[in-house]
Amino acid sequence: MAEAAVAAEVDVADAAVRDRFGLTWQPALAAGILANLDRIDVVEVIAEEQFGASSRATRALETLAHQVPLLVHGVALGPASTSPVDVRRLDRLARLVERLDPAFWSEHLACVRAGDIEIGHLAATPRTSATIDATAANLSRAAAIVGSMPMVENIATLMDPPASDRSEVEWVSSVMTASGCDLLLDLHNVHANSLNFDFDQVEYLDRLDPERIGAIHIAGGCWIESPDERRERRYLDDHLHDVPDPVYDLLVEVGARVRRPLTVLLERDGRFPPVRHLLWQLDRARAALAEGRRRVSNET
Amino acid sequence: MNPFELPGPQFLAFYAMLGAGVLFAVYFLKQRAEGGEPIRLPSTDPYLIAYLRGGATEAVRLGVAVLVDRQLLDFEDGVRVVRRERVTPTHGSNDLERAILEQCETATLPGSLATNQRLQEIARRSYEPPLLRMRLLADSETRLRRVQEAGLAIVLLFVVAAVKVAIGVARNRPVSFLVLFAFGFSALTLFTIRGRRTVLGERVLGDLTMLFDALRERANELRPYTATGELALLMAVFGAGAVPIGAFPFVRAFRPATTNTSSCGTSGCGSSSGSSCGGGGGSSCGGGSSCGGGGCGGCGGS
Repeated sequence: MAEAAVAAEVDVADAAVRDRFGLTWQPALAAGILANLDRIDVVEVIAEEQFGASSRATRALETLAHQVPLLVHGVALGPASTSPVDVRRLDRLARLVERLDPAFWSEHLACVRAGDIEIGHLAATPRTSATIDATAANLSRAAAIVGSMPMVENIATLMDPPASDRSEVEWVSSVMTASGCDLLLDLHNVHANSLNFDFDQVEYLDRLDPERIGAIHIAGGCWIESPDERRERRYLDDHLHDVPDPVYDLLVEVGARVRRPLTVLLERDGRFPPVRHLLWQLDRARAALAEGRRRVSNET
Repeated sequence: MNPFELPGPQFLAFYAMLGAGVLFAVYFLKQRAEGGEPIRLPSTDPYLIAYLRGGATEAVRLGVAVLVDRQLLDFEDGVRVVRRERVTPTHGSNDLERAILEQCETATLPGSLATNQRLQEIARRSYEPPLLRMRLLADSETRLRRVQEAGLAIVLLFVVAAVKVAIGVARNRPVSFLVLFAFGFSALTLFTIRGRRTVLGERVLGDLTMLFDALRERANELRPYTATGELALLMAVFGAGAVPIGAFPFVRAFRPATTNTSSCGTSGCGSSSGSSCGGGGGSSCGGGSSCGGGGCGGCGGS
């Protein structure tokens, strides 16, 4: 019993040592990121921003990849759809992944186009067994072309997708099981959805397989007026605000559940504060995850 | 077919092709020998980048700027820098900074610090060896190889030209164009092998310039004493010309004299807006940082 407790403690300590914390790459933050590589372990690059970039710009990212480990994050593949994913997009993604050699790549569990029409938005897909199978097939195709399985990210949505026959967390878990992909758990998306659709966010975590959670996104958002007359307002995941306290609380809960090392990324797309403020938020995330891991260690 | 039997114009065309081929060969050999995969810069040290870009002078300039921004040096009377009270050389974070602090016990012109032999020697000693080890600067072996390859190329060009000149003189033909070609291609060959940086060094510097391009655009948002790390990288990669004079008046000393007299010189225009920003502190430009990028955050859902 004592040996098991020690082993668990070692597991937790070991995972904590190997947890990584980073930021999304933004050219405006370049100097701040590179001047603070002692506090930034990993940088996430948005794949689609590189597709139209010059070869010189991509080459510069290769140099960046030699300074700090990169991750590639897709925002426009749209695998959560009954339509097959675009092979040309996958080819470009595969080339980028080959050049940057990221630790992993990831994509949203969202639908982004209907036929040839781009929605310009990460839309939630109806949560049915048909979309689970189709999403798994799309992810399998993506893995075959890119050469590795992506991590899949839960999305925030302002409307419950119609024709759904299960909850979001059930759908996400089923996709993970059917596809074999691990989860990039966006805690702010969970937080936003829990506010908009009145569910318990800790219960949401409890219903996920903790061993399949490989990475975490944290971000900020704000309240907006709702177009839906039945509700006064909605909470928008906009990446333009600081990470709210409940997201750090959720990160503590994640730390208490997940034993494997995690990669935690702070997403900030605009209204950039000084880098030291972003680093402070990363430090808070570090402290939150460590607190969760300590809790497991103490309970064991 | 013996090319030396070609008539003048055809031989000149042949010689031009030979010269282009030789130039390409020298360029190719240089790329092959000095290129390679990008390397990891140790801790993205701005001093290393400044030295890579502009040598010891740039490293010393950067040191002065960093020390002023860290408030270890005072920009006295807007002209000279001097060590602040209760600051000792040990407050410097590396040999170069400590040496600059020593040197600034009495008020000194920043420009004269940048050309100070002792400081330059310390910068050289601190930053040249790692850059040579990383193959970003050309070492003596690299320079020797370049000279040997260029020498062979030039000998080939001159031997071919000399044979034809001898034939032309014997046949009483004009040879001046050929002599011009020989000297022209030789000069281009020497131009191809020039440079203190290796091909890899040029690439790394170019990549850093690319990565930091957005920083140059938002340089006016930098405020004194709050982001020394960013200021240091901005100055290391782009030089003093990219730093807004309004917020950082001491960099004026490191700019060419032509821009010193005007607030809107070639590089001064950026600075003049920087001037209104920096001087204004929380001016409307400051708000620019809160209006930033936008990105796709507004889409939500990601």
